Amino acid sequence: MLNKLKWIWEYYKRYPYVLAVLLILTPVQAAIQVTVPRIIEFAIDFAKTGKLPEHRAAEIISGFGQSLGISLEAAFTIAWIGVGLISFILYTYVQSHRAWMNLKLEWLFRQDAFKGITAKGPDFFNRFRTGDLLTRLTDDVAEKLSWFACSGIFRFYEAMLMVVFTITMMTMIDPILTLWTAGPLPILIIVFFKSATILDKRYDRLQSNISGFNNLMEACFSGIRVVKAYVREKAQKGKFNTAARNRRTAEISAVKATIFVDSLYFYIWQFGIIIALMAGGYKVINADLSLGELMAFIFYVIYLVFPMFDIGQFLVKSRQSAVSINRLLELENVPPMIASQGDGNGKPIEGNLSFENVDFEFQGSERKIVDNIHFDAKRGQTIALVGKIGSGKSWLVNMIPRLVDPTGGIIKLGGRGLKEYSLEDLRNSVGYVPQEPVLFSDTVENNIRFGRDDIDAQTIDWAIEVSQLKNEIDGFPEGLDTKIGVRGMSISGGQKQRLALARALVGKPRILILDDCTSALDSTTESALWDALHEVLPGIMAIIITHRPDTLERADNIIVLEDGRIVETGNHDELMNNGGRYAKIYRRYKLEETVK
Amino acid sequence: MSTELFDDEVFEKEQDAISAKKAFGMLIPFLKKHKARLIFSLLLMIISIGLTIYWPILVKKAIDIDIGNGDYGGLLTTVLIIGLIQAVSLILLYIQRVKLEIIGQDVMLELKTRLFSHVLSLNISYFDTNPVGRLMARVESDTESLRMLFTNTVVMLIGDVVMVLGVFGVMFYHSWRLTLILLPIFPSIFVLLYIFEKKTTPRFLEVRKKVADLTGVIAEFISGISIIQIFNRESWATKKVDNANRIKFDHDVYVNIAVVLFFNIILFSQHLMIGMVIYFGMLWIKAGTVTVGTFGMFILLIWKSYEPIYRSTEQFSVIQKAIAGTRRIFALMDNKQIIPEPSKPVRWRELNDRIKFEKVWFSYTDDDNYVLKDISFEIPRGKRIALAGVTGGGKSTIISLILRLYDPQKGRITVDGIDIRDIHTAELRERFALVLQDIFLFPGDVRSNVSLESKHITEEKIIEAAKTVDAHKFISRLPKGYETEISEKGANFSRGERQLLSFARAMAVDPDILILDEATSSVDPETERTIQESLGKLMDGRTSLIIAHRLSTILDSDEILVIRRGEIIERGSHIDLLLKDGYYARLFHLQFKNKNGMVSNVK
Repeated sequence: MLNKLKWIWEYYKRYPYVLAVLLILTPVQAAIQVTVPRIIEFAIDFAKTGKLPEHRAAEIISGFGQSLGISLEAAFTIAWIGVGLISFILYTYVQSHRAWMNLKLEWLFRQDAFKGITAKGPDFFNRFRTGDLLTRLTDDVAEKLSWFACSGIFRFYEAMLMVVFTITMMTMIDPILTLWTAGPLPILIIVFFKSATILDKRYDRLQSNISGFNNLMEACFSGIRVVKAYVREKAQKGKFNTAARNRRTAEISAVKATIFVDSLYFYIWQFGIIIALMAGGYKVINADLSLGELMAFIFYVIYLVFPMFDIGQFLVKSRQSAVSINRLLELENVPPMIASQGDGNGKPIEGNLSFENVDFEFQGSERKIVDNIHFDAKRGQTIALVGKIGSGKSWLVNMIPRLVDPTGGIIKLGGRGLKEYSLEDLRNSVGYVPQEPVLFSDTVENNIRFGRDDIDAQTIDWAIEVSQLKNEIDGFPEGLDTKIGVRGMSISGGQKQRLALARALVGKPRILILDDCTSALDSTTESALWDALHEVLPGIMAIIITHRPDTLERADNIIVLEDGRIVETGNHDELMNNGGRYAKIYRRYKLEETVK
Repeated sequence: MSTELFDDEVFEKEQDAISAKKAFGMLIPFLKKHKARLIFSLLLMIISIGLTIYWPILVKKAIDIDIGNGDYGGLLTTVLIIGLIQAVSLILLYIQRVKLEIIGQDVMLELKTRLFSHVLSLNISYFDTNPVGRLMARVESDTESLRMLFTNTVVMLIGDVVMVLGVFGVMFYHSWRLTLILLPIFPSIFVLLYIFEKKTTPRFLEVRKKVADLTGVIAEFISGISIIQIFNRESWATKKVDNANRIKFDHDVYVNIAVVLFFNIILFSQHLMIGMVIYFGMLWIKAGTVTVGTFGMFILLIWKSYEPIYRSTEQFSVIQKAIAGTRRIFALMDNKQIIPEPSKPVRWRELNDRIKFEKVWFSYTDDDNYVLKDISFEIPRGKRIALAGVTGGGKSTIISLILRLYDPQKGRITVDGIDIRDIHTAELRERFALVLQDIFLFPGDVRSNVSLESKHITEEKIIEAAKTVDAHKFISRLPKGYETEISEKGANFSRGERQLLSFARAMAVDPDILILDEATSSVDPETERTIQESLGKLMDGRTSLIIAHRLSTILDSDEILVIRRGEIIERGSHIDLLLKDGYYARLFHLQFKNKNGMVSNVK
């Protein structure tokens, strides 16, 4: 628990003013708040007896009234309203700061978590799915954590202060009566805690009923073809009905418990008044206590009850938010797969690329995904990678921009190991077009520019032209400013791929990686693309995963992969003459083209 | 979840399909059944509210009479009665709330069941255009918001009005003068409440939108993380998220502080009211027109009357959500996208002669975008017809049309000369069994996945079917046999096992006609052999239509239809087609020939 508080403290440190407001004004407000019942007491006693109560505060109020030349009644009322007003202002101020801090913390927690996530490697994203991460960054942070981190803690603080101040005030009136009325209150905390546990259990059961119900629905709707083809609508309805009924039962049982607990609190709340009346009334009858003091006591009892809820709630919520903190720490604790160690000079890196006995495997896995790969690629060359799904092609190219690092061997660029460069310089030198184009819900231009503000309009035009997008973009209603929708929904698959290509080209890369994305271009436009590219970037090296026979024929070197290993290498003619695996694959690709 | 995030616009469109008035009109019949219980519940509530208002009166009695007369016995009695009344009122309130909850749950149960069976009756194109998440939201969250409206809002609102009126009645009875002084404050609170709602509701909606935007940005960046990393855009992405975070923060802070301010103003107005009571109370106590007990009672009653005000702010959004939800629910109920059943269905018990496609044209989008063009062929009883071609050619569509999951725009499909549109869809489909590429497994155990919960499929039939297709062996080896639970997406079964399960499922219904979409993915030779043998047994003596991916299937077919871009471009036996050396010959080399050396196994 202590390390969790320390974790929260790190954030508070940045906001000393807010912290000071909360720490100092909360007790001030509470202290003013607890004087309120005494004004009622004085007012009643004065009205009843016609004598000013023997208390300094009462004397001050009457003195203040006399100096203004108003009646005592008016003076008490003004005092009442005045105290209320100060309390109102202070409390609004404190609560606003609490609200502000809740939201600020939510922002910071989320921001830091997201920042951490951007540095993680593929192992992290294999372990935590997008939906899961999203839940942690939204629900956990917003619902469970940030409210607790400020309001939860400071409401607890406020509650404790209120209890202490109220009991002090009560004791000043009558210590014995205080013992009578405040004595049973700690039971409330126990009741709260116990009932929260019971409620938790019932809601857990309800939750599992709800997910069962949802799973059933999801399966039925997703498998609707099977349901319809096998004419099983009736059976599905039957199952649905049972699940819905079970859920109804769980729902009612949970609600019953909630209502019961609600009623119980309410009863206890009013029970305090009953005790005060009983014990206080006895004293009033015996003239040990004034009627005004009895009224003040009733007020104080009410003052004591509500903090009990806050204290109980603090205990419950602190458990929940500790879980949420752990869920965030769990993310933090996965180290990034790669670290930027080398020095950068902001210049693009050029030179020959060589793989020297490169291996790659995931930790704890016995199978090598990339196994002892050895090849050289010179400036200006085009290298084609060929192989089945799962042969390791994508992992091989992922190592060039250091999305993952080899677990064995070394990759060199311009004679130096990749790790000797700064990650930023290296990645700025690489252009990458993924198999599935990943686009963002923004405009065409912003997707190409991708936040690189130093790129001028000319370069963007050039990239659009080279990637054969010019005519289509001109045809869009708003040209470059056309929004492409979530994940690029509003444009065609081919357009998406070419947009991803333009995005890669616009950074004028030295190494261009194309992961099986040539289906976006027909073969004539593809050769036009290469010509245009070599004109501007003569030394550009291309590493291409491809199915297209034309591209393979043009490549300087073809690497055939199987189970992570190189099985053949050479240019098209050589490999065809060999009549080995490549020749077979090539004929297959060729055939594939004809049957489409 | 992520599809839901971007669904706001769709939501709005959907609810526009129906007016709020019509939607609530459709809702009323669901409530009518529970009229008696609803009235009973309301009655209970009014009694219990009456009792809660009554106890401050007793407090007054305790102060004025019992304590005033020094009668401790009287005080004890009064306090006991207060405790008792409290208890009774809470018990009544408990019963009332539970009763109401049960009514709400019953209404929702009926609504959900009706909604679910309605969705099931919709045709497949509805499912093509509506993501599962959205359909679930209709049945799940929309009915839920409607229930909230009932069990909390509407009834509580009635209760609150009763309570406020009651409180004023009691106050007025005991001191009309003091009541008259307090009276003006109340309406001004309601005016304040109204203004607050008006001003903040759009702001609350705005916050909701900003939260959705923020979540959207984060979701996009996380799913595109590798691209962001490769392009060195981490700090840019972080800044974008920060920006979305800030916008959300700005909006959220505004409404949060507005709420804080509002509540404190309300709190202060309560304080002011008590201030009034203090001032005039003091004067009138001195004059003897008002007692100290009345004074105390007033303060307690003021407290009570504020309870509904504190509650009211939450209620407003519940009402809005429920109205939108109701409209969406009944817009869906109103959707008549169903495959029309024949008014005078022709009986069709079994396949005697043949299935025929007669010049069938079909488009998913109901326009000229035909995915099937002028398709004609027949499947004579007991024959095996194979469909070959590349993906997207229209093979799967043919299967869907036979099962009447869609109706063609032109042409017709007949069984034994009867147009399938003249047969009851259930009767038609019952004669077929569909085996898909990868079996769709439902949550539940092996048994229920073979029988698909049909009552006609007995335990013996299930086991017999499993034995026939050779699935019994591996099922019996499972820790719980036929009771083994299927894990998510059937991950606890191998591909081959899943395939055998799908055969067992088809076998269990003992169909006349088998429709098979063969798996494209290869399995190890051992499994392949088992599958081949099981498939042979399944197809034995049955009419079948197969999307073929296996060499053996192709070789054993009576006729092969080669489909390309929605047309049958070649047809005939395997040998004839090979000899023709056309499209099929190329396809054959590509798809079948080099695959897992099955030739030797078959021949």
